[in-house]
Amino acid sequence: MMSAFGTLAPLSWRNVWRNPRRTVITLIVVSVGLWSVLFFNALLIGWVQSSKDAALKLLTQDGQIHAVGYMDDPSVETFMKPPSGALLEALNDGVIEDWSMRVSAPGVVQSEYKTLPITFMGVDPEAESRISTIPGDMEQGRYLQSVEDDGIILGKHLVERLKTDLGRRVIVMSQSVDGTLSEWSYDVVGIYDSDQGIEDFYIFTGLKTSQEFLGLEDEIAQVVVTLPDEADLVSSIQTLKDAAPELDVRSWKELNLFLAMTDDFMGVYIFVWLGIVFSMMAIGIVNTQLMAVFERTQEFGLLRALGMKPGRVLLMVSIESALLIGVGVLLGIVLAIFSIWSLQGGIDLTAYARAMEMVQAGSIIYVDYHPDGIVRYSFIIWILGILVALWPARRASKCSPQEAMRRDT
Amino acid sequence: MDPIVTCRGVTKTFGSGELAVNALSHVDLDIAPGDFATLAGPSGSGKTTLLNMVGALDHPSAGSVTVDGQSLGNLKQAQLSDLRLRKIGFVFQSYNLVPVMSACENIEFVLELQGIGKADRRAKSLEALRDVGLEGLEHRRPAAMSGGQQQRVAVARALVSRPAIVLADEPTANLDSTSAGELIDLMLKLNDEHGTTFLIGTHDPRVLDRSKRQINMLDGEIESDARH
Amino acid sequence: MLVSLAWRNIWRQPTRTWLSLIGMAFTSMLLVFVLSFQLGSYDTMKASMLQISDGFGQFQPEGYKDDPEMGKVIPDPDALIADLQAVEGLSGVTARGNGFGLLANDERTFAAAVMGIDPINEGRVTTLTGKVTTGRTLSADDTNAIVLGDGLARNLKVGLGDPVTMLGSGTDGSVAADVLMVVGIFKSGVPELDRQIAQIPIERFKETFLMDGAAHAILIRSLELPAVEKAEADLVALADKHGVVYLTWQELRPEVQQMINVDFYTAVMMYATLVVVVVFIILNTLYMSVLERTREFGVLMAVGMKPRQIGRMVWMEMIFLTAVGAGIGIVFGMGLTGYFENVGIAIEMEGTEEIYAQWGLPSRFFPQMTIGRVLAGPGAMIGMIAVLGFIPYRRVMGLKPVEAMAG
Repeated sequence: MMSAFGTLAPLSWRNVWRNPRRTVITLIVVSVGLWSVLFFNALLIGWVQSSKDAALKLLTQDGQIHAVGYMDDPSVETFMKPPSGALLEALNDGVIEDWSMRVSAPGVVQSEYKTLPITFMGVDPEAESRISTIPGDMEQGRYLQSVEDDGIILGKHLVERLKTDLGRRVIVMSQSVDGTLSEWSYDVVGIYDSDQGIEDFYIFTGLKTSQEFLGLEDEIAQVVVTLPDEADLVSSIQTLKDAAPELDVRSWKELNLFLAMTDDFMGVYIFVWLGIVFSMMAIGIVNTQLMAVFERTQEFGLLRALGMKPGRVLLMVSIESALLIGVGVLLGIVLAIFSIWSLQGGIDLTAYARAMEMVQAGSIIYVDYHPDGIVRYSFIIWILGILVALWPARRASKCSPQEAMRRDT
Repeated sequence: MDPIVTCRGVTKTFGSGELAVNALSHVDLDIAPGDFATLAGPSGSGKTTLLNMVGALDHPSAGSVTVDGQSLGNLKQAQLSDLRLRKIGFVFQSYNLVPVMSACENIEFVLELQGIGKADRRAKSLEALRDVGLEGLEHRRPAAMSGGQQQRVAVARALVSRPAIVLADEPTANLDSTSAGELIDLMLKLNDEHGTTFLIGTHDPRVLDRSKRQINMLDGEIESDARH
Repeated sequence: MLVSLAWRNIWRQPTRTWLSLIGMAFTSMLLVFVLSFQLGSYDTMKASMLQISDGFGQFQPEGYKDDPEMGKVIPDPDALIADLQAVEGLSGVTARGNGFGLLANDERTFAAAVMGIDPINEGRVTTLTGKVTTGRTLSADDTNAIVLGDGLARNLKVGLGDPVTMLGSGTDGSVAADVLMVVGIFKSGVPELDRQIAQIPIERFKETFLMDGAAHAILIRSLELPAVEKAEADLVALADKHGVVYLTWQELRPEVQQMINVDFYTAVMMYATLVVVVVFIILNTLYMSVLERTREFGVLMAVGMKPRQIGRMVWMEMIFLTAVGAGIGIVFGMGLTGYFENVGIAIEMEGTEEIYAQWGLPSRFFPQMTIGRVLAGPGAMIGMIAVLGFIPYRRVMGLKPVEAMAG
């Protein structure tokens, strides 16, 4: 069998190039088809990745822990105690990459001109800087410096609407734990520039400051966690759930159904596309190969007359197809790599910023090579192509020796 | 009578400079009406090239060709095309017929190109097929006919417009002896009965034996020109 | 005869022709369906998202959109509303007051957006009022009734019949205070709305917030979105007349159109690739069939056929092949789409229900065929083939009898 390959392969290779025009057509069909699969795959993955980065790295992170009941009724009455015991161990032992505590309560911010509803957050600035993108998005002033920092950070668009500014004061009102309305004035020490949806609603101060403001001792609203890149989401979150069965532990997929769905859906989408593209490719391959066989009926008949068995003819033609499609696949890979390389700077969709916010995608989509995807899809197309080309190969093997004698008029 | 075809000093050169090859060199030739002439000679002697000149398929590099009183030199492609349509009939070695049309339709096709109406076309076509002895095969497609029958359809098509001359290039090359013989018989019969002028390029001895005028060519020149 | 010959020529190689036809038909069918579905979905999405609370268009005071302030008002909303009755195509017109206040009951105080709505007309323009799950919506007789989103009701720990105090600021900056009775609780599925919105009758709103008969916005609606778009010129003219601005839905919710654009352009890229591949395959078929017949064309030219005539024949072959392929595809595509136009497509996976609710989307999507959507895909295919068909055509035109016959 191997010796058969050995003798047939060089012959097959030469046969591939006998009719350059037809060969080029097949190469173009295969390479363009594969390119589209690889490129759109990279594009879609990049989209989902940028969505995850954009949406999750703001305030969701990879997972959140709340007291049971907080999610339905987010107010000071459903706060939790800071992590301790088994949970604290689980958070610190390495499964989790990082974690932070937050206070979060609905309230109102008031400037000289306007009163607007907001979500008031008390954070640990050091931990936040490691897990959220907001500390890095300061446009003016500074970020918070410690949990006791009593300045307030506002979003740019909120500052505009309130007609306030850096260094001015605003009043924040929210319901404290004893049921009364707490009302404090804060200095605006920093202005951040992020998604408009976030800017309009989230204001930040130090964790301890917020706890005092709300009349709490050390209670917090939530613990947010980030996981290392390669970590398995479900099992990591399960570890936390096991460590704190009395609390409400959720992964980002449970918190953000839309993003979860997009993530899951992508894989299906690409396979559907691959199916469609391959159907077209199959038609192209079969068409050109059938024509090739038709033109060479005499030749095949001659080979049969010389003693070549039909199986060998089939093998020879199949090797030709395999080589031809293989070259097409390689070309497709080159095209894909090139087009991805040319987009290394990322695809800039900032013109569509608001829409991207709405579907929780980032404004810049970075595309990457994804070698595993490249290998997988190229291989699939190559194998499928060879299978499809068995049809013309079978026709070739059926050419009888009498064909060699016959002449077209 | 005036010759049907006149060639004067016809030269055809292919290539240029050092690679130039004279396929034809200063050929002078007259074909009289009613001639049954064969162009004989080995491959490369210029038979096909001369037939192309006479058939208005190509222009000579030098010299003049006149067919049925019409000098070909000044004519443009479209006019040459018309000339071939009405005045010249062709029978080639192979690929004569359109495979997706029946015998009758193949003949009607050239009549339609000439602008002849439907009823007339059909009548003339059937008549032509009768003349070549293919009655009953009108609606057969070429694939369902023997080589000899296909060539006869080609002859019928060549004749149907009563051309000034019928040119044939190796018409018997793909035929067995019987079919070849029948084809030659047919062409001679048409030549005798209708006075159709034939110029046949061939090196088939079966044809040469029965030719009435043999023109021998070698290296692009006419060596001899004898009537039997 | 050329026509009949052209048709027969296509079928010289039946397998090849069938494969090409299948390729074209499949692509055409796919594009007919997909475009009808995608664009039909966009229509559904647009309407769904807009009709929850924004309406299909709004009249607002100048500068209100960028910086909503109590003091920016439409002084005589009734006049504008009267004029709007005459505009063709509108199915609902309603006025709104937009305020902001702190709602409180005994134990809790929460900030909320307070909407003054017209109980009779609001339901003709938005669907929010229809989402009441407990109690009832506001009625024309109500004086001090209030309807809350269920998140808000929960936060305030109020139920039907409970009193709610409202504290806000009026148009002149003074304190506006009121006490209202909860008559209904709505659940839209959109968390932002359910947690932040309270509705009171607009007359009450005007009194409490000292509006002096003015309103902040007038919302309009038509049965289908295109009707409002068509009437835009009239609406802008009316806005000028009354000294206000008319905002189209694109201006009210730019992200909706942007989102549709992004989705559409990425999809178009994929469709274009498909069309290119198919067109390439077809062209190859045509070109190959021309090449194969070079000798035959040579003979035809020898017997007097002109290259132009052969070219016309080849062109006709191309048209037949394309028309039949695309035609079959369009017929099947319309059949398939027509079926789903009636039945709808429900995309159900884990989590889709909540997401749809959040965006106000229905659970079934219906493709919608229009002439444009049906013909766009096949049309692009035919157009490309017609243009690129020039290549085999040119080859035929350049044939010379002698060379051609030599093969």
